[in-house]
Amino acid sequence: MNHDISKRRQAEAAPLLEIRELTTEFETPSGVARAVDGATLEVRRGEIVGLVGESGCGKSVTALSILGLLPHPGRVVAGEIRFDGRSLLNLDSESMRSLRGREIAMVFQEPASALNPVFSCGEQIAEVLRTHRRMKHPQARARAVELLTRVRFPDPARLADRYPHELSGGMCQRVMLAMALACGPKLLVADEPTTALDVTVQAQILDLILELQRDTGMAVLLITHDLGVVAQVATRVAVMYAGRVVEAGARDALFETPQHPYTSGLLRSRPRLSGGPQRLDAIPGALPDPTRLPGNCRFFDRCPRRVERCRLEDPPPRRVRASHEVRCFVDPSPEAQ
Amino acid sequence: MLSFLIRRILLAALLILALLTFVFFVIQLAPGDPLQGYADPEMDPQLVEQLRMQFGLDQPVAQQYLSWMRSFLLEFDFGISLAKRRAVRDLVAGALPNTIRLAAWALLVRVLLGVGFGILAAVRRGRAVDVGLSVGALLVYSVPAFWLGVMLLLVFALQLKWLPPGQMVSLDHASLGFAARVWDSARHLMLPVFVLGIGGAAATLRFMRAGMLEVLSQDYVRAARAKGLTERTVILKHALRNALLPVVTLVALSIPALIGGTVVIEHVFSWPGMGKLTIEAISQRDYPVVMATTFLSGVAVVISNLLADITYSLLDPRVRLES
Ligand SMILES: Nc1ncnc2c1ncn2[C@@H]1O[C@H](COP(=O)(O)OP(=O)(O)O)[C@@H](O)[C@H]1O
Ligand SMILES: [Mg+2]
Repeated sequence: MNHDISKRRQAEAAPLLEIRELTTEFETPSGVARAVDGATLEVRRGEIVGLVGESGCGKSVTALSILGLLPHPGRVVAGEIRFDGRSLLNLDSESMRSLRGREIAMVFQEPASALNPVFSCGEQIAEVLRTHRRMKHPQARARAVELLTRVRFPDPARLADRYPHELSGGMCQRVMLAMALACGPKLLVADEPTTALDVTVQAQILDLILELQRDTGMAVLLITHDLGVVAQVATRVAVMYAGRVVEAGARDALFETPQHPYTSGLLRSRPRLSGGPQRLDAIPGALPDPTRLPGNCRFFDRCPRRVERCRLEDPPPRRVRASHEVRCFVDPSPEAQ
Repeated sequence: MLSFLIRRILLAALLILALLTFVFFVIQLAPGDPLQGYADPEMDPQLVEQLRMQFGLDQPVAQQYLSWMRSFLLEFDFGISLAKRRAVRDLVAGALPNTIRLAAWALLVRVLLGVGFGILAAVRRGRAVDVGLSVGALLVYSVPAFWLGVMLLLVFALQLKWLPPGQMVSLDHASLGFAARVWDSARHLMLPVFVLGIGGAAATLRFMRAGMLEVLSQDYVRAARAKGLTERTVILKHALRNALLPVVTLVALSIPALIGGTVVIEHVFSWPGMGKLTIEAISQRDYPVVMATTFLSGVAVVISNLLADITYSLLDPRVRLES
């Protein structure tokens, strides 16, 4: 009995989602593209983790690897994904399916195209409940209307009968969120949920995600290329570059003392909202070709702080302080900031 | 939705009126007098005049047009066959159901095989099933229907004697019990329906496969999977409903071609339908019959367009609301 309880405590202390050395590849005509290459990432219960990085660095592929939804010909070739005590990569497809939408929900970048054009919004929410909760039609529909209220639709019953093409992008994303909430998931994976939206709508959606997270206590993996978004809502941040997480830590620590030159670059290139001329120093250069990843540091070509060692070796993760890790040989001096 | 339907139906009615007018004037413009072929040159001119009067050929064109429209639309009276000396309405009433029976079953074969195997091929893309189906569809598609019909007749009817070599029922049909009658009709239907439907099924399969593949790569299909729906629901609900949209149009708009195809098939299988009636009427210059069949095939085109619109609007809310 006691033993059981301590075991459960342990399970509860363990991160909800643990990704270790995840490697995902696509076999393409021009070679094997390694979209994710040894990424390590944790999401604890009830926290919001921001996964940041420029377009093409492997964020979406990471998310799809978690849900087992990689498009053909993508496949996970190495690493481990543990969710709530289970190893997801070994799960059979039926167990994985029943996990999706029930324990792990996902919202996408293009809300308007993520909704099926030929079914009403209410139906698309209700079918999740019918599938996972075995609800009957009227009950599922009533619950769908409730969920639409929670994502702040003033007239949810009417909205349930409307079709995606009648809604704005922000409304579609709210419907997607209602759908994601339907079964009270432990984890919400939000892949660039605001990128396709207008700035004002972006703020509303972020605010809503934050509110829903507080109400339900679910954890959120918030994927974005926008550090500003992360700064607003995340408790922890992971910075991804060329298929791996190059820096991860608590939000404030990471923003105040960024360790990786890429993180520093991202912070500098962030547009400031507070007055003064905007400084948009984008980092010069581009991501390495995923079919020909170098054996040394991936950021070498673009790095302002590189030393000789970086040309030859790939920096392993280095712990800077408790729960702040970086993959860089160079210790940034305070004046380098 | 209702106003959309009403508008489409009004449009269809208008088209039918226009069609009728068109047919009337085409026949008017055709050279020769309809009575020429039938009136014996030595016949009493008074009798010829009497016949002309009887058929209304002596009246002014406008008068003929009005009375013709009235009898066509209100009384379904298509006149009297000059060759068969019987009401065209009765000839059509005898032949039309037979053609509809043939075409409807062929359409069903087309849709079931085409859509079913199209989904299968798309879901199993690149595997043996897909390759087999695609090659098969190509073969079927490139074989002319009349040749296929004759070959199947040779093999299954004349050589193996498994199926009857034509006609709609056996001679002793009337004396059979109910189940035996149904089976007898089914055996007579098999070959012509297969030949008439299979080409369209092949076309539908290829179309369906392409549409399904496109839909399967859409965001909403990935989102449907992310919701944890079963693969069955993802394919047969989310993907299929979208992939069907263009197929509905294709199939409905191909109904006229299907009906055209019955002409050849009815000939090969001695099927007493509209095709046979039309061919005979044309060779005998039987104007009233030609007019009636031309008109009815036009009506078939209009109705299949209407069906396409209605089905499409039922399947696609975007069309439904845009009106
Ligand atoms: N379907 C695919 N086929 C081949 N390569 C892909 C595919 N999807 C993604 N990739 C590769 O994975 C890399 C990371 O993509 P992605 O995870 O979508 O980036 P992002 O961080 O912008 O979400 C891309 O640069 C691309 O090379
Ligand atoms: Mg992405």
